Amino acid sequence: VRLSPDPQLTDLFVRYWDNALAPAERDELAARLAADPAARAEFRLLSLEAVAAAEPAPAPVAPVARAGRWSRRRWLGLVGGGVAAGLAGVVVSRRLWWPDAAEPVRLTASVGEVTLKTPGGDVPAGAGPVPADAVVSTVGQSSSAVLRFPDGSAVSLGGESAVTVGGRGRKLNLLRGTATATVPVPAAGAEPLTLGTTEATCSRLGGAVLTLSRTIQATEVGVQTGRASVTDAAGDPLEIVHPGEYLTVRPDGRHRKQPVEPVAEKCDWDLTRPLPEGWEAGKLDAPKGGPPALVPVYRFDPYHQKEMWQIRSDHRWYKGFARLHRQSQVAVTYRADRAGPGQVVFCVRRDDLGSSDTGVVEWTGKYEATGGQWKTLRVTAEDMLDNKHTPKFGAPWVAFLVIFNTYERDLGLRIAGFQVIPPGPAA
Amino acid sequence: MALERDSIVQVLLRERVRVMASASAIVRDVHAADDIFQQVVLAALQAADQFRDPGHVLAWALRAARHRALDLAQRRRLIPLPDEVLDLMEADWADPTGPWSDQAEALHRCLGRVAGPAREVLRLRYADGLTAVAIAGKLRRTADAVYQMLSRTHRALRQCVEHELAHLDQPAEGGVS
Repeated sequence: VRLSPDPQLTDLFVRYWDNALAPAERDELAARLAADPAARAEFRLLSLEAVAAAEPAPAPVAPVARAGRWSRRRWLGLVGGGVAAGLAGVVVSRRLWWPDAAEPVRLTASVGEVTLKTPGGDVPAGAGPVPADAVVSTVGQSSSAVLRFPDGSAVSLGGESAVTVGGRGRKLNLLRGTATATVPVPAAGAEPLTLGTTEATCSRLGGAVLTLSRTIQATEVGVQTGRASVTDAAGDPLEIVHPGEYLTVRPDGRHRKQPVEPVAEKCDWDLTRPLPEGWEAGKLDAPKGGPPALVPVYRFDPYHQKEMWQIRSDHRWYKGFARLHRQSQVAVTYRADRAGPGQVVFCVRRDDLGSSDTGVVEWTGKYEATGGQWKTLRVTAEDMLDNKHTPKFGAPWVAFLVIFNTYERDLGLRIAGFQVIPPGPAA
Repeated sequence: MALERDSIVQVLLRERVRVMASASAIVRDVHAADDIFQQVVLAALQAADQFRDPGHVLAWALRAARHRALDLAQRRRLIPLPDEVLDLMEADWADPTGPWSDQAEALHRCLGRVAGPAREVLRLRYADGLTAVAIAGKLRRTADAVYQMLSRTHRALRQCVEHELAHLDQPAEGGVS
């Protein structure tokens, strides 16, 4: 069904929302919706827009400063799939999954800031049992936590991740971030751990080591040892994932299995081509007579609790953008109409897919006003380590997310080139 | 055979936006629609034995959300759309071939491109739940100006979504590698 091209329907909708239609307008709206499938399609899209506009942006950005206490909506919005998804996970865990658990799931290790979200509010998490109705979250890219399950499974949460536990202690729901699970071969008759997100569920994991990664755009499942049987949200089988493979599942069920390739030592963005699927924020602008460039968009940043001008790449846990060594050089070709503070941020993981440890490698400085000229910022990874969430593990680091940020000011920033150059003569 | 409870939850989480949007179209309050969705999840789990398949769960959830939204609309003295229109809308929402996932994904991208005052008005309207009159008071504009801005923004979003959906067949991997 096509959308209605009639702009008056939108005018009616915005006043219908306020209960502000005159009787004749109400009748007109009802008549259009009754008679015209395209008008109903338009009305449905407008309703979807209202819901989507009320949701906070779900993904976090490079951490700089912690904000104060969040509202329930904001907190849950950050937890992956949004408000109700988060709460439904909590509801389900409270009503169904815990009451007859033989042993509790325990938090056995934490690094950095780890919180438990309970009906009573956010509380810092310490080692011990995970309450029945809690969401466990790691705050900041350098935070991590380990959960141990009654069957002996261990799940390590990376930075900026959130999970609930259900299935009487046998199911882990990843709401956001990355979790690496080591699942032992189950005792005879015992049910092994399953891991899932809104899009996908991994089961039959006995003897497996696997990593589950979730963003708003997709779920990725990668297996290091053993294998994982993955089903979609409706429980229909999708794929068996074997060691050295990863499966990407989109919210609409599209999925693709690929081999895990070694991460490249360098990268050089080709902005003459369209941005990849899953690109989160920022747009590509290709003016006549000038090079194509990435331009920031003004978006709500849940970490800073403010709207900011940002470019934010897609999330590539497995493929990565580049492997960063301490002497790797980052070159950003930019133009700015106004000078002002800004960042170039890499969220990084270990160069070992058996770990979900993450951190931040970040340049925080000042973009210069370039007077219409292009300028290249050059900085080594070593010079990007002085930040609160610097990796707690050594190089090489695999960059899986790239962010450009100019905070609340629109500097008229345009990024026409982005390279990671490995150490050596070329650098 | 009845569905497992986990499967019911999976269906409802997957269809959360659809159920919430259907309720918000009646109650005109996204936060109330969110609460209604949560009530529907709990009610669905209590009625778990009756569900035959995922389509059944969705149809049931849409109907349950509609009833709850109408009850709330009545308490708030909102004038609802006629029942026959709501019947048609409910059937449309339940259509398994609808472009819901694609639209939601496209909307997510398009909203990321809404900036400045338009973004602020959307936030005040739908996230903060303010009426056009209240927004006008905050921004020192007239209510009509706010309505016009909302209409323009919705139309821009719709064009953006159409554009995004038209380009769904482009290659998955672009030049940023």
